[in-house]
Amino acid sequence: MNRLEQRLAELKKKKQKALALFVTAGDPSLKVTEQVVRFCDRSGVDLIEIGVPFSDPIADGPVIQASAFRALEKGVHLKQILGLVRRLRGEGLQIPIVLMSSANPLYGTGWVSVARDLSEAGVDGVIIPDLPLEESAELRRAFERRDLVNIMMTTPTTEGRRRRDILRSSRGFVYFVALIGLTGDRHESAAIISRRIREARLTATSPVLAGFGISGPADARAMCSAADGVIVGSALVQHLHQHSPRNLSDRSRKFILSLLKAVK
Amino acid sequence: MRSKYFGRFGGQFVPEILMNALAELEASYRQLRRDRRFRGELEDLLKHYAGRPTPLFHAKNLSRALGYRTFLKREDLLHTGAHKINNTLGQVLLARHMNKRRIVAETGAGQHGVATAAAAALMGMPCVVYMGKVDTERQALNVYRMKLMGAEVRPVTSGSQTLKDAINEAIRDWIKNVRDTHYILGSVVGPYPYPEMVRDFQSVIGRETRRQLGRTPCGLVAACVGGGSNAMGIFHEFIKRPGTKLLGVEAAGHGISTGKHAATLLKGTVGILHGAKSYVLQDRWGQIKPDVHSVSAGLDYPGVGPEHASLKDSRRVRYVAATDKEALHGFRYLSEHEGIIPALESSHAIGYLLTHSRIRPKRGACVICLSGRGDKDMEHASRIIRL
Ligand SMILES: Cc1ncc(COP(=O)(O)O)c(C=O)c1O
Repeated sequence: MNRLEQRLAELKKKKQKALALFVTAGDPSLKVTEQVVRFCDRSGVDLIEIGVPFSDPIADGPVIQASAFRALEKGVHLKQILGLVRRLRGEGLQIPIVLMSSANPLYGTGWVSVARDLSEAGVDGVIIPDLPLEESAELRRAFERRDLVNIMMTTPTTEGRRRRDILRSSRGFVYFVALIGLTGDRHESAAIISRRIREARLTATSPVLAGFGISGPADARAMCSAADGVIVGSALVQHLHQHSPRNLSDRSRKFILSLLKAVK
Repeated sequence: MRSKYFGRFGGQFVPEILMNALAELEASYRQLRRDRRFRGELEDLLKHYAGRPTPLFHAKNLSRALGYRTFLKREDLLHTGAHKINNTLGQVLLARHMNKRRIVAETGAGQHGVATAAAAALMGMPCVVYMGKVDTERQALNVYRMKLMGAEVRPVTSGSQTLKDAINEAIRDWIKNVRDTHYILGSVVGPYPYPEMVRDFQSVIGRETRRQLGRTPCGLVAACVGGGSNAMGIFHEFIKRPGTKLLGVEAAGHGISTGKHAATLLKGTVGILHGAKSYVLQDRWGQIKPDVHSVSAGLDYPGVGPEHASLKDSRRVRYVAATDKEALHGFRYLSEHEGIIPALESSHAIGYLLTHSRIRPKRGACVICLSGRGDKDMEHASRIIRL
């Protein structure tokens, strides 16, 4: 079991829900990214997803896309991100970390060397929204060997054998996309989503976390009634952009704590 | 199950939310392409609406300059001015069959946008075309044409504000509205089944060409390559005929060693862009190059269709690149000596052959795919070429 799986197993034993937070590496700055990671580690957030900026994302909504472009303008890419994680792990940082990235900026030299680089830096896994089950066999083989998890996404419209295969082969957790649409807009009816999440948990071999469009503590708490935990992305990215331009501000800290309180 | 790959290229690198839509598209397409009514309807539109078959013109003056018999496949004479309509008519019928009520598309030079707007107008479907803001300014005339035909043109301000960014936005729109929207992609790029489907709709170019050539053996077929749809359209029929050399001409812009070009097959590396694995112009961190350049907006794209990537690896097609200067030479030459003003995209194929005499048919004739007419380029050309 790797670090993320261990953490989620402990939560399950304690009958607690999980909180995962997404930040784009380098937006507003790598320094703020580091401060967020440290603060999350200290305050008991269960997982940090670090977004790898990409010039041509197709799976991101407008907030995260804009954030990635800001980071790219600062010249942030995979090498600095792995450097940051390596340094923090060296200092004993315990919080599970996964990279969330489009396929291309990771793919570079092929999945085998990606697995080696990530594992050596102390990353625990990846979420690659544009790498569906059918395209992920090679990555999963390379990742298994390094005990890294490949977290796969499922949606309310994923059905049949594909749905079962995704729910059974996603390691770490299953990322349930709780919207029809992109990050942060157009809600699928809440009742249908809740039912689908409960159904997914019956089949999945890992916990099911729900994300996309969770805008604050109230949404997070509501989603936790059906899911094993939640992922907050756009809302935090936007908060940091507005309120933590140079350093992680008290206001952003409070926002993170309010999410924790809603979930725990 | 059929392979979603061409060799090691292609696939479906898209968010989970689109996987259903792609499966539905593939199933509908497989069913329809064997359906006699659908084929009849498409043939009828291609003939009476778009103007097929297009002539195969023996260009004698050009032949004399090249030193071998050369024909032009006149896709420039099609309705809306380029080969793009072959594909949009097919896809709009497909959309109707799938009960999709709304059309989205991307466009670079505006030719695919115009061809989509026309097809959507014909079917009475609302149509949204994404176009990079830079391109809306370069190709203002085409923006007006699209709007006149009832399409909504949405300028894209993200990234480099050109074709690649328009594709990103169109895909995003599709994700959001996947239930009632069909995305009409304009080239042999994107996730499976698009590269195969668009190629099939365009392959009428090559089929007609071969029929029109009759007994004349075809020694060389040349076409420009942006995403690669007019090239695949004319190549497909000839791929299994080893006597026919195939030549794909990319845009070398200021020169392929300057960085300011769009020669993806010649200078790119393997990557994943817009849902497919293919050659891509990218930096060492996997970021797509923003400074891709060509004098023609339609070739100005940092990716290329996966089937071309595979044909490059297997060496069945030879890929080369023509500079802006060579393309402009072809543009002027055909205008002055044949009285045909070609699109700047198509001018790359002509310009390349005019300036590189080593490539020639061993026996028989040469066919150049004249993918579009130059009307859209008049303003741009008049600023570059002083008369
Ligand atoms: C006339 C013409 N030729 C060629 C192209 C390039 O596309 P493709 O390589 O898909 O044929 C375009 C694209 O806009 C075009 O307008």
